Amino acid sequence: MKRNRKLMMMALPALLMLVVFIVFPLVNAIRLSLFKWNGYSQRMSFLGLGNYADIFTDSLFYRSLGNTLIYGFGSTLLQNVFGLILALYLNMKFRGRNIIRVVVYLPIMVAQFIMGQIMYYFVQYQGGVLNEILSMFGAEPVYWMSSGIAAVILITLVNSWQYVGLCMVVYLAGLQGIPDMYREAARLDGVSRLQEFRHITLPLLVPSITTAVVINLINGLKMYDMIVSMSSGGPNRGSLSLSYYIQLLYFNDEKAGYAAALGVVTIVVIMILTLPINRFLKKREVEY
Amino acid sequence: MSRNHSSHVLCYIAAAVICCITALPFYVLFNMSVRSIHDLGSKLRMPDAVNWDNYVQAFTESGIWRGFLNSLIVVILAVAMIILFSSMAAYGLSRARTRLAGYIGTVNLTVMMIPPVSLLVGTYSLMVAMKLVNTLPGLSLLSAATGIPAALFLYSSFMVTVPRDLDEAAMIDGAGILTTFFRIIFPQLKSVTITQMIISAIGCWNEYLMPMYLLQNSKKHTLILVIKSAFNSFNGVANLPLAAATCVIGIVPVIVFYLALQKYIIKGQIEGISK
Repeated sequence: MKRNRKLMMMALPALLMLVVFIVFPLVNAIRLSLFKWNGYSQRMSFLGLGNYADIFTDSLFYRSLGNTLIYGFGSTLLQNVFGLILALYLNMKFRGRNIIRVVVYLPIMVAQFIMGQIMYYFVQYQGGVLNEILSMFGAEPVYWMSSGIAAVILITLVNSWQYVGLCMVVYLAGLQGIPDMYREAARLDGVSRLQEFRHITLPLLVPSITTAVVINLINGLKMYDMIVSMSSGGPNRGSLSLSYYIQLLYFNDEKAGYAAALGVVTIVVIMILTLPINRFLKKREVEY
Repeated sequence: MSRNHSSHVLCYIAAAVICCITALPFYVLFNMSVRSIHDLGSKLRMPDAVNWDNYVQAFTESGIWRGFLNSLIVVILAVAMIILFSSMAAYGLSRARTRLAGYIGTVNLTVMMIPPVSLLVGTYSLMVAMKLVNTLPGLSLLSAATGIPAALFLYSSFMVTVPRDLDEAAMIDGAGILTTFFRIIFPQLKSVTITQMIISAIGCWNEYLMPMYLLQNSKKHTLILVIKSAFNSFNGVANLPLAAATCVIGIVPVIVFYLALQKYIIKGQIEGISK
């Protein structure tokens, strides 16, 4: 068993990194969440669970939570539907399909922060690209970012478009893992294309769906950079995500203790959301 | 035959639509970058006088070279740590027949779900205490730590496909664990390593939040932060065309890198996932 111990030692550098930079900050954040603290002074006063109690009466917390759920679930839904459609399309045999795959994946390379800046040019009221296109058809300009919810929906759309390539790749991998004989057998039985998709392709894609949903959900719930550059959390803090709200509380409002507590609550919320989904989807996987 | 033909036409129409939608944002950015600061005209029509001065200004005044170099340092350090530590750990954990190894795998999956921002307060005060604020190695360490869980997960699922006979043969020849790993196992992981290197490098290069708070000294700014400050206004006016030119300069290397290595990114991931 000496060999086992030596093998476990191989994991030491990685574990050390995780302990120092993730587990320790987590413990530190939990500790700080029990204090009222502005983030830099020596003075800290112990509050116990006071910060946590405040969260539940904070209307901005509920708004950020709601927005985060839209960012997370909205992006997941859109990316999976369009990712699957794109994968089915780009799994067909036609010349140049590899080029289109490269094109669909391309926006992922651009920093989210920069993509948000570009998209800001699209949704501006004055001189924005969308309004310019509308005016070509003689329509009145629209005030796209008029409310928090409008900003949230637009950011969700842009995020879904930018990262749809990830889903496409996951589904292409899934489609290529389905043996051809299944579909050939179905064709011989005279099954329609839709039935073939519904009864053969889709059930065999469940592992890919699990992967894609969990990846998208985690990314969507973490969303931050794009909100900064597209809406700065506005109008009137209406498009904040939980991540963005934590950051504002810490560096802007100087409520470090409260920000730490919100961070802990965010982790709990994300765990509660992703773990059952992961388990539910895992159960539905088909062996073949 | 005719049905086949019409479905091919549809394929190409869809292809054209996808290309247009993807190209439009890049076109608008380019259009913005070659106009003068006072030009508030259409973002779709090219300006009458194409103005390359923004690029000249971006290269000479904005500290973009330093940003480029700083980003490169952070990416190289972070990616080296991610690849080395994750592959070693995946090997050790997959070969050790202990219950602890299984637990670590589960904990790793949970850690993957934690958004880095939720730990912001904890991380930042830790970085201050360790005197890692305003240092590039400090940022690299943090980026590496946030990148390790996903890389470890990928390597672990890949390690199953490397036959144990290889280890055993090496062991009979008297090779130690480190020798076995670096001489025998690591070369087997070449394709997944290349894919993971590219993904980690892009993620690290595009990182915004952590550099933003850790690197307040403008001499330490990474490329994204240089771009971000190009959007700041001077005397109440932001030079948006200059900022757009800075964005273009920031995007082009990544796109070239992507096009050169797209085989490893897309095909690499498809093969990696379907294993």
